[in-house]
Amino acid sequence: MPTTTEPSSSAARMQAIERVRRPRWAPDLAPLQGLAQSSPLPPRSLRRLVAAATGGASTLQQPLKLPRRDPLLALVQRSTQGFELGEYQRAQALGYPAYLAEQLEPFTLDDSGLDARLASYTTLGMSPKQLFDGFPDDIGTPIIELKGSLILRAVYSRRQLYERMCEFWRDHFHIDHNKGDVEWALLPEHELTVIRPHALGKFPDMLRASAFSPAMQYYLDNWLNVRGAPQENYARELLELHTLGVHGGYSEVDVKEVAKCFTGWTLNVDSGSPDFLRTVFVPVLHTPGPKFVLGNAIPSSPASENARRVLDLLALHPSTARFIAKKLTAWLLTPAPSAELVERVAATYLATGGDIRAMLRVILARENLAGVVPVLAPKFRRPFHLVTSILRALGAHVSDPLYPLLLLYLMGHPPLDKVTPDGYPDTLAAWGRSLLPRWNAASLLVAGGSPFPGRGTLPGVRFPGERLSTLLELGRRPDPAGLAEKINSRLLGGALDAFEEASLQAFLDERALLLDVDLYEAIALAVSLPGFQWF
Amino acid sequence: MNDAQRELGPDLSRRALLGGVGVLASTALVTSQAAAQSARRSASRPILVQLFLRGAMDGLTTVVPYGDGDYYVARPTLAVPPPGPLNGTRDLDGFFGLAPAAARLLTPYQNGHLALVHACGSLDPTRSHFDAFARMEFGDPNLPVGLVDDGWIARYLSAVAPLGGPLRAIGVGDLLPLSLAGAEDALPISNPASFLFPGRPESATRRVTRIAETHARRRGLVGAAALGTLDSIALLAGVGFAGYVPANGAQYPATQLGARLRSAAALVKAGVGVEVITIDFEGWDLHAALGPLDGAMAALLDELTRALEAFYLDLLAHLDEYVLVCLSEFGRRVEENASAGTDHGHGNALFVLGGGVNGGQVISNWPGLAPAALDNGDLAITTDYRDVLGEILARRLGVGPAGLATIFPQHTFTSVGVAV
Repeated sequence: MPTTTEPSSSAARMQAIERVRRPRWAPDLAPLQGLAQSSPLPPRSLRRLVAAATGGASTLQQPLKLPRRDPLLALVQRSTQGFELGEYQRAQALGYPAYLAEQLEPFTLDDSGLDARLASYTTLGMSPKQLFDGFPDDIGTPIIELKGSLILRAVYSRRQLYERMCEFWRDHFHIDHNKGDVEWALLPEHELTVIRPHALGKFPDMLRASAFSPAMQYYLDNWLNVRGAPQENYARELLELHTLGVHGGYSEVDVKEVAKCFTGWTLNVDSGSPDFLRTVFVPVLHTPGPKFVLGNAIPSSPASENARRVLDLLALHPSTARFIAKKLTAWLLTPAPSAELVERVAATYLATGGDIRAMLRVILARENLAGVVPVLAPKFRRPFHLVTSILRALGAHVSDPLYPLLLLYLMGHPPLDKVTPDGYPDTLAAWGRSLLPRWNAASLLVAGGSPFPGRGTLPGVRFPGERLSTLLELGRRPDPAGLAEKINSRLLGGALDAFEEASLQAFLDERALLLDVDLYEAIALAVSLPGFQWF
Repeated sequence: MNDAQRELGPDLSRRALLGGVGVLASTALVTSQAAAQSARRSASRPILVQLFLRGAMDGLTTVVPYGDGDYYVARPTLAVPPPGPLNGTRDLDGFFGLAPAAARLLTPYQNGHLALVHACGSLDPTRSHFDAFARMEFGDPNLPVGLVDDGWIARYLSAVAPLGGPLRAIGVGDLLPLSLAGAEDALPISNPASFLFPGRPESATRRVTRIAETHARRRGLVGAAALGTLDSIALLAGVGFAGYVPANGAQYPATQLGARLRSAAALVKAGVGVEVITIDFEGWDLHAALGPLDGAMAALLDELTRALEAFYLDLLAHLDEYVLVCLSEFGRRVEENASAGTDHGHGNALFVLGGGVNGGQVISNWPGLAPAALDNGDLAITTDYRDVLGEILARRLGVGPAGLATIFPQHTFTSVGVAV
């Protein structure tokens, strides 16, 4: 709501915000590093080992395993945050169409188990004003609760496809929690009002929610975009990253014109007001006069409608449909979607007004999940997906997601923590060479979550020993025979190829007597092998 | 061909063709201690250090054209004052000066080890960060319909004889920059001083064996990276990061950038066959509240130049063993906006530090900041950044004309005079 006390100069607005900035928060990784063991192998012996393992090998033609021919298994792999045997069995009981239908209507699924886990995370529902009032100094709690909640949702929600889509949109409308030492207070509400209500809804609705959200207004500086010399940060990324795509057919003039249309939309900077940091339109800050965007005249009045008119133009533009269709298909099926499928998904977008659920029905049709390259091709797990997949595979009890979150910092993939607005990449080229952080995370997580507390226990993470004993049919004295096959098929959904399973079995067979520590090392090894890095 | 198909398809990499057994060729190469030693001996080529300032650093604040009156017209509230008592520019050559927050660069500049190039950049018209990264780092302004699909530094590594180490390039960070896309024997390593194989020492050899044998059978980028990682654990263990003491009292800032340049310096001195080090420094996209004298920009320049000064002092006795290029994807709009910041621009300033540099000068065919001289409101580019890099490649890194033609294809090089 515009008020007469709104400071009209950007300098005054910035000064008002300057007063509420909080000291920057950074994670303390020392406790995690203190838990880590490492093996300072002498260089010569390590080189010898690598040479012995690889030297003389003549079987280099072993291809990467193709996705399984079971479309339901492929659907479960692609639409969840990691294979979990119980989820797959439930999907089997329902059958492909019913499982997909259920996942596309997430709010019909009871998620009270997750809700109970999040019940104590009181900051998730707080407004910016409440957060600023409640956390005058150390802002670690709201940041850890928000990021940790994303891990818990990914691991425990029964609405798995929904959570996977929330992750997708969180990258599409990426916001860095560090911006200006203010953004931390805007992000919880952004998650609840922009990402989650629209993740399976209509893209134009999400776009509008994003454009006028305080979090985006602040992150891309539109709150400071005013008449006179408009600034282009939001306008450019709106066109390039959120809608048309960089080659979507806009010019530098369009960037400037869109920036003008968005002048006047800003934030309430009165820290005493209950509407502190809410988005408002201030007419005197708006650039008057006609504007032209993508060849369309934007009427000069009403001034407050300029921005919405631009969003409508962009939301229904064919370039946007194609850009979103390709990105969605790549997220769910293959790094390089075929033009034909992208066109079909884009046509669905245009025919349904950007209905995300309708696009997912096209993308996740059973024939696409039948495992025929290039429609379906292996995707390299991002670190977030690797961590949640390990936790789901092992049926982890996570009472506190802090340590898994710290692991994501070590892996370069903590949620909401990238400076630039393009979100984290989703490509093999980006992540495929960074393997030691994965081995390290697997080692810390699996050994640290072992039900047999000892050296390296990871606070807040426990794997239930009973479940493992049952799944792996471990007796009183575990027998290594056939164990690799059980680990692969029952914990990992068959992610490992035959030669990887054989290598894992050989590792187990080296122990005459299988101790708990050997079992957990074997599981940590299994999730470090190449097969598990793909899904 | 998509990522997965690359992993699936026949291995037609240069290494496979040369070595016949894919990734094993280079691994076997380094298993002998002798090879590593010879790498150390033959490491006569300087290490290329790329420091990339992500987000479009404002070159008009860093290297101030105080002699151009139009600068003060375009930036009534953001201009850095001319040399003088209060917050004045530190004069470089009577026309350009350094922002006070960057004054530390005067030492290497006056010693002749730092050259500044102004009105420099990639000639393509893009004002998008991400498009500009791709064009500049792939080294082809014509992308997306371009001539190349890998990074210019990757092509540099292909154009010169390997020094024989298992790790030719380190991207000090979580991900490799695009300039190293497609490079072999290149790894992203966030903290080279802590690159250790995890888990219990008792079982480490057994686990390494299984990781190595399985990755060796999967080819492609991940398989090669895994074996390279294992080799590099051993290699970096020999650098001695733990007890590293910077020379000449160099004081790196206690920041990520400081730690990364400190690791880079240790790697330069260790001579373990690493040929390229890349470091990214983010946060320059200051559309609002630039703060050239006491705000965000000043803080970034302070951190950057404290880290660079420490790196320079630390390696004073090793000037000929590295050449550092510090660049950004483009500059910023000449005219300030109404939120005390600047939007995306075009021409920019670039630094080159090290031995064999024609330092102590600002190299620039200055186009001027008069409105008519601007390129869509931005500083025009009169020096193609490929000419700067090409000269460094040719004169400092021993790349011949044929190599240059593969690194920056279809580019006609013009002499800049930045390298001896």
